[in-house]
Amino acid sequence: MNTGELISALVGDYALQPRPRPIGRGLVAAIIAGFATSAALFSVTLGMRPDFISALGTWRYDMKLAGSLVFAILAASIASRLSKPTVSPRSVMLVLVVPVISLLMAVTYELTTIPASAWLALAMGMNGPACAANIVILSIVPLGAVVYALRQGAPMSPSATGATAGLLAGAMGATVFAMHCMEDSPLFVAIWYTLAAGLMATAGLLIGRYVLRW
Amino acid sequence: MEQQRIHHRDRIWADWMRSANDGDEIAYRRLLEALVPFLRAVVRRGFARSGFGSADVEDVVQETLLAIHLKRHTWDQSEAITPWVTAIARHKLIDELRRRGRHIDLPIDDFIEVLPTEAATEALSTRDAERLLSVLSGRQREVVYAISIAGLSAQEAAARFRISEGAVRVALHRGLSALAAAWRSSNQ
Repeated sequence: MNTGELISALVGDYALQPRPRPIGRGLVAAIIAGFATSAALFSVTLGMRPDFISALGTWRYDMKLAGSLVFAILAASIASRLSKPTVSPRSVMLVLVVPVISLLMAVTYELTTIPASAWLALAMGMNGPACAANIVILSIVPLGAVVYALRQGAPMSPSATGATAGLLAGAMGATVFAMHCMEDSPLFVAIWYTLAAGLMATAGLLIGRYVLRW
Repeated sequence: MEQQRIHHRDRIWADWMRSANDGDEIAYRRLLEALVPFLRAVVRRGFARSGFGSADVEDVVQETLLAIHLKRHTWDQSEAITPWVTAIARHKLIDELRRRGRHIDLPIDDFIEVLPTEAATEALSTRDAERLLSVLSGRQREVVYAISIAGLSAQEAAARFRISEGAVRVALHRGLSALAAAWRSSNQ
């Protein structure tokens, strides 16, 4: 097949779908579908914490819930931008230091206002590993949906885009799980929520390296 | 002068792509044909930078054209098109160099200003068309062959295979996507 012949095939194919579909739309659909699935799974297994309404009145809980949600929105916007071949990961992923610094500030505040004798109990909670495991479980469907949507893209770095998809899925899982979880200390969040997000980012990176190649 | 020429060229290409996005098939063909000499020059330069001769330039050009086609929704209509085209070519170039065992950094700015002044004649693709198309299943292979090499229109192909025009287009699209996947994993 010479190049002229290839162009004929491409032009012939073009007629099937002349108007390109913007990439963001598929990603939004995937996020909604992933979120709905995790929320359904959540409602039949874990369920809301009993004191949800009154917990909303505390900064610790708000920070955990809103922080997860804001992180998800941030990761979604990064993932969508990374799906263009002209966007380098370095230029758009740097903004992720903002939530990291916010969390570190909350941790510092907690450490300075709470006696050292209580730190360990707060950090470990009732069952930290189970919390991280729950977040991971709630993140699996979102990760699949998001990666599937991102396959439409043409990322400069499939690994970085996959890792961002993992962070997005982890943040979605964390947002859902936060409605159940009773451990609100930033110390707990910084350890167990971050662990879950890190696991999802690693999974996303490994998957993206192969699945997001183009 | 040079800058102006590049800027002017970009405006023409972007106009064609915008028209294509509005359904203008002729503009689309014009754009792809205009990109070929540019891509040959870009790939040739990339090969030279990494110490390879110009063998198999056309393979990478074809892979890039196919990727431009399959990923055209990732171009933002409000942006210049040359950096986008170049980024795709660079991606395919790096893939090809990796396949040859080279990990090399190719700064993108090296390529944007490429002008196809070098001999930009077509070296025949070294990939044997039949062998390449053999990765496709029966109907997809027939349709891709009919439209690319035999030069039939979708309508003519539909009549020949006694299927609907829609089925021809779907087979063609799936065939091209399969071809892109096969090129990606060839020689690995």
